[in-house]
Amino acid sequence: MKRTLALLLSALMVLGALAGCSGSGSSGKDSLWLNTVLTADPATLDVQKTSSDYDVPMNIYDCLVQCVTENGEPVLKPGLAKSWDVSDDGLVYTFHLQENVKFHNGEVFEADDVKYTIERMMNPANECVNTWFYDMIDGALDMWEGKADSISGVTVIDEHTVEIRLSYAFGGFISSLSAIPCAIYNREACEAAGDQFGVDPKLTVGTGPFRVTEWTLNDKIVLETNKDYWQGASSLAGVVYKNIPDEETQRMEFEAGNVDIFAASNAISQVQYFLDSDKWSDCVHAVREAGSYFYLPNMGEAPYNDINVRKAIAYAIDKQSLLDNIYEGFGYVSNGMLVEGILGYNPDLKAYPFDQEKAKECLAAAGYAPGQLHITFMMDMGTGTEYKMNIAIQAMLKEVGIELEIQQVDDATYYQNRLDGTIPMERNCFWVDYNDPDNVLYNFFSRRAQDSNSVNIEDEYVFDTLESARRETDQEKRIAMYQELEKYLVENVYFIPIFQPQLTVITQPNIKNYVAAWNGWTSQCYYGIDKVAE
Amino acid sequence: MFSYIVKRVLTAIPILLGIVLLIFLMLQVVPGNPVVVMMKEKANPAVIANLTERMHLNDPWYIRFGRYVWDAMHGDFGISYKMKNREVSKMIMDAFPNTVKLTIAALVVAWAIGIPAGIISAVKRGSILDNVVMTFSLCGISMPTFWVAMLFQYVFAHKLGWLPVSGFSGFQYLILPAFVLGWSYSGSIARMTRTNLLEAMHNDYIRTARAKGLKESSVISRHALKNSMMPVVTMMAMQVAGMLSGAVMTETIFGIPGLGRITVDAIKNRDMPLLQGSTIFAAALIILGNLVADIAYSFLDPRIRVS
Amino acid sequence: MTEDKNKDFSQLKDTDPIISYEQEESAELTELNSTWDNIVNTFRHNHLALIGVVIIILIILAAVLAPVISAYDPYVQDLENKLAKPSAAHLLGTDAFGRDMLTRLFYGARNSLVIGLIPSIIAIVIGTVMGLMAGYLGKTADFIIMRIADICLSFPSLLLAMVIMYTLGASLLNLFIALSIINWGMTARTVRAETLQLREKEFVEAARSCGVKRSTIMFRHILPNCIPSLIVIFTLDIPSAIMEEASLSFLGVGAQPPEASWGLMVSENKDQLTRAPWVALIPGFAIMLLVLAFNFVGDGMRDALDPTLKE
Repeated sequence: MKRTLALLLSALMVLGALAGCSGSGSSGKDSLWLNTVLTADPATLDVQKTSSDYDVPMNIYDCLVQCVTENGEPVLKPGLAKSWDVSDDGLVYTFHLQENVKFHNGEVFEADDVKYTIERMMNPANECVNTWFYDMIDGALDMWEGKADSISGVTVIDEHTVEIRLSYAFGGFISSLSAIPCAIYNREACEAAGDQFGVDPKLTVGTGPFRVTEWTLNDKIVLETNKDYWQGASSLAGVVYKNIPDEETQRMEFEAGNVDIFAASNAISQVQYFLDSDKWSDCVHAVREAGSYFYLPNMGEAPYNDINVRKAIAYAIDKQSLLDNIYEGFGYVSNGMLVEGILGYNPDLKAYPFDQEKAKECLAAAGYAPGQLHITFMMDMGTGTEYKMNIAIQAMLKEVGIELEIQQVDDATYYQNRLDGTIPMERNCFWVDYNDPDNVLYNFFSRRAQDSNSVNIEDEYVFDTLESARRETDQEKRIAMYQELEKYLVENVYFIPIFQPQLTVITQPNIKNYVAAWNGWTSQCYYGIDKVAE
Repeated sequence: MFSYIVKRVLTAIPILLGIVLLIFLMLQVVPGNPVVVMMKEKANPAVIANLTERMHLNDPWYIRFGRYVWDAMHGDFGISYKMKNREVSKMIMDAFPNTVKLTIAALVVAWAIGIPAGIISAVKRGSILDNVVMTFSLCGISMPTFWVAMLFQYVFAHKLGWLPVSGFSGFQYLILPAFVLGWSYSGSIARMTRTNLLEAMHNDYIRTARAKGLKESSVISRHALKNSMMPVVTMMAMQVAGMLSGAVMTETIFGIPGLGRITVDAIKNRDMPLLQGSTIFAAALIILGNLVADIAYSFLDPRIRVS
Repeated sequence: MTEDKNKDFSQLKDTDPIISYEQEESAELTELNSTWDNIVNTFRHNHLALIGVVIIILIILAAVLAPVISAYDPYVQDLENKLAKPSAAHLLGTDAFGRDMLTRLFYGARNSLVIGLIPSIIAIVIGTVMGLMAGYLGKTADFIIMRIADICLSFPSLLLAMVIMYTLGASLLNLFIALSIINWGMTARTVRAETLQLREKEFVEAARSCGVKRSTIMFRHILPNCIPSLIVIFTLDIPSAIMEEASLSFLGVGAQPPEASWGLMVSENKDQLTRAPWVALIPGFAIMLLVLAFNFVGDGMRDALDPTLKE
């Protein structure tokens, strides 16, 4: 017995030594570190190679143009480019760059870095995924296809001036440059880092307000304030991204004070609790998300290629009920894809309303008796909002005589189906990368997009409109073209709009100057936020 | 003795190879190009074809298998599909120490609950105490780990605020997860202790000790217990292996950056190199555990050595 | 006072060198009957095991009579009433879709019991056959079978099940396959150990010399002697299977919605843990009750059938 006790005690001592406090002193409520959460590690911090992991990049890199949120609206402002000139034909952009800006490794930012950044993206050897931001630049596609090893359309005029020539006028170009995939990289740093850029914190370098200093997988990512930031150093000591995959755990950590910013988009049901609490009722920030949920039918497959079937489904869905029951009413029923907050929003556009009688009529017009039509939604394996929405719609469709099967498949099957264009019908969503209607509609309905999704339309009118609208230089004419197109898409049920969610972010009371981003993204830049020590 | 060890080790090698082959085949048979999953929404047929070729995914499976085994023997388990440009071996080696810490802590808990429970239950057999104690440790095996973890997190961390909710930055972060994991293993320890102690107490030498007039507590602690602990100790080797490789639920719910987390993520992301690497590692641990247990047992039970 | 039938039996054998075949058979039947007596006897005194039996019977009744005793339909949603606290109308409250928890528990019991039983049966059958063959046929068969068993056992079981489910796809049939694959190894090992012991015994030799076929020896002579161990293993396999299914459903690769499996219920409602904890916690409690009951019964069986544990 004594021996067992001794063993136990020594084990406890060993434990104490083993589990010793992990270094950095970078967390805790007693310091000026901002604590926020990530639900998963980003694949890489190299923003050219990922289309979704934007949280950290938005804090460590800058772009030529900034899009800031003022009064909830997006405003384009100079970024690393302090001004720019556009030629009359809309083809040549000349950027005048900021001076005395340093990268985190001490190198000075100059025009050559801009040329390097764009060529790095279009270099096929790098396998970047965001090439579509730059492929309208003259010579970019040649480089991507291996026909050239530099881009003729990007010219370094002098150390602080760079000229970019497009192969066709693209009205949304300046706006697109404000999106984080267009972050500017440093030639020396990238060449030195090789494929460890974005992986090794020491080698990952930008011009942004914070610099990444530590990355422990499944644990946390630590950013320290860049004292030499060209717009002035942040008052924070840094930002800590804690890796917490589960929303309930995130919320518990927030309530315990270990997390300063809690985005309730995955846990909408939590919001009411915070609104009712004494401590946080003033700290709830709501913003319209610049995006929406909608359903995409596969127009290349029966029965979705029959407009009466699509209409029947559209009439059968009670969008307000979905919004209220699944999203607690935190959002707005949508009538199109260019929802309010996105350039091109048409307040007069009306989609098919909830009308069970009309649904039944359309079903009959399509030639199906009640209960005869079987359709399928495909989705991944989760039980989150998409699942709940599908289940609710399943019940709604049943009421008008349509049988819905919800097919849950694993990721590989799902993405393969998407690539092959064989997804029958699914819920989809889109949030703008930058504030332009092209960003939304081109992504789903352009000719090029048909290769990588299951929309499968063959409508020349749609394809042509999208291409011409891109090239239109008169902004008013452009907007009118997009609105016309959107009306056409809605009337012909190329998609069924559901609702535009509202993002609710709850901050701790001692966080000041927090501004929810105009696009309702949870990923945002924390520059400008202050934390008052308790 | 030595030849027994050698024989056992040699038997372990085909098992390990078999496991590698099994995983490999399972992941080949499945339809689905991992590159497609990696690219997600921005899937571009040209890039996909490129990547697929570069990752040699078009070669026949036996060639890929051979190449994999060859590289593995040199310590190269490939590059993760999801986490760009990271070596699988480094990812595993970074995560493993955290699982070790959790395992040690959990073992302490498991033993602290299990052994006394088993002893009390055997000695006071049939009494209320026996029932209560056995129920407590059996509860550990009967409650799904994820559920216990959620319950404890809710009660002790959230409602009572005594302990941290999640994370891994110090000793107190280990307490709840260790208790959850340890409790679930204590049941088997209690059972085995009880069974072995009961068996030992039936033996003749115990009757002799009692006849000699020794106190009951001495009889139990100095004679019965010693001889019945050995199987329990060898069971520990297998439990360690089990915990090291399978504390998936506990790590996920409490946010511990260990081996279990990595493996589950690998499955969800279809990250084949990572999945292969971590599963082989986990299986190797279990095989090692069995090996140690077998060898230890053979030391203690001469009959096995001789046979 | 020891009632070790096995010991007495072998003593008889030693003094009586030639045993006739027919006497063997009747002796085995007596063996089986006494096994049953043992069980009944022990259970009378082992309170935990009794409680376990009662709980299991109650749960089985609830599962079988689910449509009769449920006040609601387990699939109908009532979104107005979601996450209601336990009340007179809904004894255990409602879940995130407004479905009555108690009803879903009853229906979930069906899935949980079926998922507990079927893979365990399959695993026992496969394990026994494999174990017998490995133990009796020896040499190559032994080597191959045991290495395959080792491979299945050297995997962290949850991970193996997850990989299998991802490979085959998430359906009930595949779930049975996955759970059987991870559970047959232990049975095989145990049966093999017993077979190795038993095949040296004289009644087996006697049968061999009578020219009895190998398969007959395995299944009619050796197998019945393994039954006590098999009963224990089976009773303890069921809770493992139930727990494994719960874990797999929790991770999303087990039972599929809108079926009501207890593990799935915990998983579906875990994002309500802070707002409506009972929804996520009650199904887990049900799992615990069922598994605990089986563990009590299993331990009781072991006490009854393992001669060295007699009081």
